[in-house]
Amino acid sequence: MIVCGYNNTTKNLNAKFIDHSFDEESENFIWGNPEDPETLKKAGIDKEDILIAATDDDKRNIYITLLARNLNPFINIGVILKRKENVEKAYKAGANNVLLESEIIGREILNSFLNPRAAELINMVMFSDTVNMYAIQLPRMYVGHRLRDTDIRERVGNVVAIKRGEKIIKNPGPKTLLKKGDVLIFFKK
Amino acid sequence: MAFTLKNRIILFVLMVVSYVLFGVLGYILIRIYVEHHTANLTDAIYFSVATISTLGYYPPGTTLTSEIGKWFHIAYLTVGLGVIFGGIQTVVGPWLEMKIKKAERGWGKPLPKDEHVIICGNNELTSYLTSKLKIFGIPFIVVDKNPPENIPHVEGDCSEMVNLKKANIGRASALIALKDDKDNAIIALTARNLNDEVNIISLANSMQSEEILKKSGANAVISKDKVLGSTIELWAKGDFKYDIFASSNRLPVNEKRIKAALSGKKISDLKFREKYGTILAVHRGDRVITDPAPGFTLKSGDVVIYVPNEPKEGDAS
Repeated sequence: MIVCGYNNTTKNLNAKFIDHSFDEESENFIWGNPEDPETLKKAGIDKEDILIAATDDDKRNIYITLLARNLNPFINIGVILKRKENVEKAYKAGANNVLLESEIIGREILNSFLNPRAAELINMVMFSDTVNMYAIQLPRMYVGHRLRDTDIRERVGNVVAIKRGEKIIKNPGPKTLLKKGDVLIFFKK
Repeated sequence: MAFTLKNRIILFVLMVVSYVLFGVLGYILIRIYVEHHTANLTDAIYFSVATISTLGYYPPGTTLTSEIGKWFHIAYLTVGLGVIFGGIQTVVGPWLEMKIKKAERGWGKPLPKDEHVIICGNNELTSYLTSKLKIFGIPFIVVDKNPPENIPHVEGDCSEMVNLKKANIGRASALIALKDDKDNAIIALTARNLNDEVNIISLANSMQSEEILKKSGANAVISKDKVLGSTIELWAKGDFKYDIFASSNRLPVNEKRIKAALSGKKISDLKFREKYGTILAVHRGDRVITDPAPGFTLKSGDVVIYVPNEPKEGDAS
């Protein structure tokens, strides 16, 4: 994973960083400008599977996205942006996923007073490992059955969601037909 | 010099006064040197004012009678009309506009007085939060030196007591501080001082400030770096938790406090799944009980955390 921009948001990521802000260059700290294709090549963009554009300037991040998409059509590009109007541009530039700062943080803030206990629980799941979720590939014996006709509830627990390809089925009802490749998601300590 | 209303008024008064003086001077010169009369100052001022105000009444013996005097009178009147009507237009226009704007603001956006949310700061987060609060029907006030238009607001620094009082902090249910960490700490201290109960939520721009903000009286601190950093990390790892809780088609999660009347009932008795949604966990005191069985007995004060049923419950196939 290549991360463009070494800052407080990204510094804990286990990645190869490109930035100007470190004192000396090492294997995982590449001194340079990520807007320069040569720097991206030096970081090995053709062999990496993920690039995150997280400098503190939206325009730079979008430009980096363009360069990276050009150098490696298959790389997964994540972008962190500040302004809403830039989200669409980043996707057009080739980003796979855009995190809009105000939306992610705003959601946290909103949840913390609308649903404080729920927010706490989700934070425990997302940001620490005190409470966990399990994702289980649907065993073959259940394929083609309806959820209520199985003993999943008794044996494992409540199915909170089903991941079916890119889609997420929220709150699957008792009549939900289970399909091959489904990932069942449970909530367990 | 900007043409503010105040400057326009000053300019207008100066023009009228100097025009009157010009009239006085012309009147006296013509009276004495052309018409060879005596001239007194009162008559001169009266002549000027009566002319430019278009009063048009001159006591006998005060008008200019010579040819030059009459032409001067005509020219003085014509230019004077321009000065007065032009001047009034430049002053009254903006003044009316200001009045109308003030009135509109006063009628259209009354400040909520009770159970409202105070938002300190005006930035991208402010617009996200106000748009969501509008949808939920929760009243709010934005306090900032440069507040957004068309939204209930108090203009001024949020860390000053006066401005928080103007925003009715005493009756507010929550305060959200979205400024830099230093300001947020002072806002939290000020707000806590004015209201013991208000739920203070503060943004922490840097991870190091989290502790200080909590100590300043914030009930919840949202660390920008931590939330953003962890979210992007989950996405990068391809962790399904990202899809479930952070992506655009994430699960909504709500909570419901169990009232005394329902104490002692089992989850299955309440038909919780059918009526509300799938329970993730029950929060009891300091404990979290995840994935409770249908036979689980609820107690008063428990908080049930669940994924709400979608408005149109069709069984997915």
